Amino acid sequence: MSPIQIRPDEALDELTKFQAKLTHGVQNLMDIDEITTGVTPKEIIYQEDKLTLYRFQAPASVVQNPVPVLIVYALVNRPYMADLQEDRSTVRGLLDAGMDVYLVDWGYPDRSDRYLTLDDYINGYLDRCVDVIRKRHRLDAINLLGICQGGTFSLCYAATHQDKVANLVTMVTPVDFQTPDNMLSKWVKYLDVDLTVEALGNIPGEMLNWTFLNLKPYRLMGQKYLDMVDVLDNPDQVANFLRMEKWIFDSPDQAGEAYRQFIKDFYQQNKLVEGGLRIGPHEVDLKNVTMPVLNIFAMQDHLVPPDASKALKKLVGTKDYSEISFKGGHIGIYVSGRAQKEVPPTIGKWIDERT
Amino acid sequence: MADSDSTGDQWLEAQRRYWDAWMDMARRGLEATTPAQKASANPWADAMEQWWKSVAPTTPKPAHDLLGQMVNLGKSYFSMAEGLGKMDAASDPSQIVENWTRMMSEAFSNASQGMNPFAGVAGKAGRQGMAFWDLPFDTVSRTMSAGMPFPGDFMKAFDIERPTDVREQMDRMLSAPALGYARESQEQHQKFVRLMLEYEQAMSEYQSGFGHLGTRSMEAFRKRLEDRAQEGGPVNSIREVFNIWVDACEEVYAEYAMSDEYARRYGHMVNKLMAVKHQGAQLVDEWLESMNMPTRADLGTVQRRLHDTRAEYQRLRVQSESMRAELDAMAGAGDDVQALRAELAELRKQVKAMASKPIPKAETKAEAKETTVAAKSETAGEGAEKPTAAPAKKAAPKRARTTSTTRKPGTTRRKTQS
Repeated sequence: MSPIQIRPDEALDELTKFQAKLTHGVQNLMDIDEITTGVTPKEIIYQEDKLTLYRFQAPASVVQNPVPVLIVYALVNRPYMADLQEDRSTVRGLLDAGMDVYLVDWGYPDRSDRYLTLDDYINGYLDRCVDVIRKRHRLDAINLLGICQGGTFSLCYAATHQDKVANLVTMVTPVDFQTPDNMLSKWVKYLDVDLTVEALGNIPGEMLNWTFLNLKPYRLMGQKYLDMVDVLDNPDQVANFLRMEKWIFDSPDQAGEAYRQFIKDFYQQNKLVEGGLRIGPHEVDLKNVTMPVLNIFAMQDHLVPPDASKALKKLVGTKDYSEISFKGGHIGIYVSGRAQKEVPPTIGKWIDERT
Repeated sequence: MADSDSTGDQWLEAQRRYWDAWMDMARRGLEATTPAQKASANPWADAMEQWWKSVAPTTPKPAHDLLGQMVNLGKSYFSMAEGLGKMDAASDPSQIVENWTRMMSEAFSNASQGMNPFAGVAGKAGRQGMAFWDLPFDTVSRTMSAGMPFPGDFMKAFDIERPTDVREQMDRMLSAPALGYARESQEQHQKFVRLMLEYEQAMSEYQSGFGHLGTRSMEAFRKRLEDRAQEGGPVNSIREVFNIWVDACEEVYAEYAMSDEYARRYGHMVNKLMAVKHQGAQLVDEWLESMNMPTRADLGTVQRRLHDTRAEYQRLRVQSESMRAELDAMAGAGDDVQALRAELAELRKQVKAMASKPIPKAETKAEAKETTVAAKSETAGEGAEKPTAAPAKKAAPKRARTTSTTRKPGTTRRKTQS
């Protein structure tokens, strides 16, 4: 018996529905103007070079935790993923949970930023943002929430500036970069990073996009668009899809020197686990992460496998370590309906208990 | 939009008529062909292409790109369905799976050209999928042509898979020793061309690595279909077949992409491309220098110096702020000194008042001596207030520094006053 048995009338029905949705969905697509992202009102607190430090406007009805949270996002994508739209906003969820939320936007590096190092990003830009917030709130230490690569930065920062970090939350953060299921790590194993940086200067965002899409090429470059036709008759879902598309392909170039160090020290030599990592004048030893740590990872994360994040537990020096696994993927942890209900309130509660 | 809707409705109607004809002929066991349809292997997909051409110009950004992508996938989807329709239901199941796999691979390759690494892995068509890696190569090639004695499309004569006479001639030329005044320049150009050929070779090896995935994908697809049929009966939806095929392909791809073999081929290909880019940049720099124009190396030097200067500025700024904080603390200590002076003056008044009181007669010799000394001191202090204040002034900064680091501002003063 053939495993495929599709009657012609069923096939006709399926294809007719498909083409009808596609045809009539054009109207919905034409009605969409500019794709807006970053929905929560915010003010600029500090700017330096391409960097902007934002503070989000909290709802008046919520009693705020006196110690603010600084969200540290990755360099490889834009931070508005944390505040994508009204009903998909980690930022909004944190505000509702009583957090006073700040966010670092690294901006889009250009050729003049080619020599920025991880020292500049972590001990320079990030440290100055932390100092600005500490000064504003007259606090010795604030809370850090690092996301993805920003989580790795936050760990490095917390290990070398313990007195300025009250509590540390890491989300989908790679720590062990050489777990057996880490595809990205395997791909850069034989890459001559020095030559790449010498040849390109800054690393083009398109190159990173190509890499990320090719982790799951059939899904991300094919199936996704076919599935999209199913929701084409729903203007809201079309807008959501376009918003996500915008974010996925909105990849800033990477400052050459920072990229060189990140790939060599983290991916190729796994120094965060193996030891010997230096960021500027500081040696980074995760044993020096002594403040409370909450580590959140996604079970179906194809970019940062769960084991890459869970390695943190054995490496940090804190006695107050908690971890939460989330049923979802690398992106779903910010934007899925379940994530909205679970993740920000959990972070807020965890911080409140330690403030 | 009226035009667009009208076009869409016409298109829908055309498809409906096509499928009616197809089903009618399928029932009669004939091939779904009419003289008009014979001109096209996939008339439905072709009709969609025509529709898209009529609608696309009026579709605004950013919807245009998304819709284009969906139309591409939709055409593939229709091609698959049409292929299914042309299969004989009585065919061998394994043949059906094989046909499906072949059709879907071709359709997916066409749909995702420019992004899909498998796009026609054999031959030059496969380069569509590697557009990203070819783009910088092409840019360098075109840029280089400005400074080279060869035309911009010179390298297109070299087909790595089919060596030509031109290629053989080039190999000989690259092997020739450089001579004369322009020897260095000649060597650099020879190196560049050699690197380009090495990159072509590395790219070809990288792409050939995907060659064996087709067979394995088919096996995985067949197994998944069989598992699905055993669990829930035969698949009766085109979309479900597509999804099962995607899962099977992802599984096989991930297995290969995680292998050391893939990592080596990928790394080799990228490294060779970077070598071409790097050498190309050096040649362009030489050309720019000869024209007395700023080079990339010049800009790099300026950028690095600017970066170092800014880093130094930040260090100095931090130091400066630290010093300013100390100065502010010292200024705060000045208030403390004033308070202490006032306190001291008050004490002196009190002592003076005590000294002006009459001395009781019934006192011992020792008591009388102490009282006399105290009175003398008070008298001397009254006339030398400024000199005695000087040491206190010197001591103040030392005290201020201590308090500024250990106490909150204002605490010291309140304690002193109390």
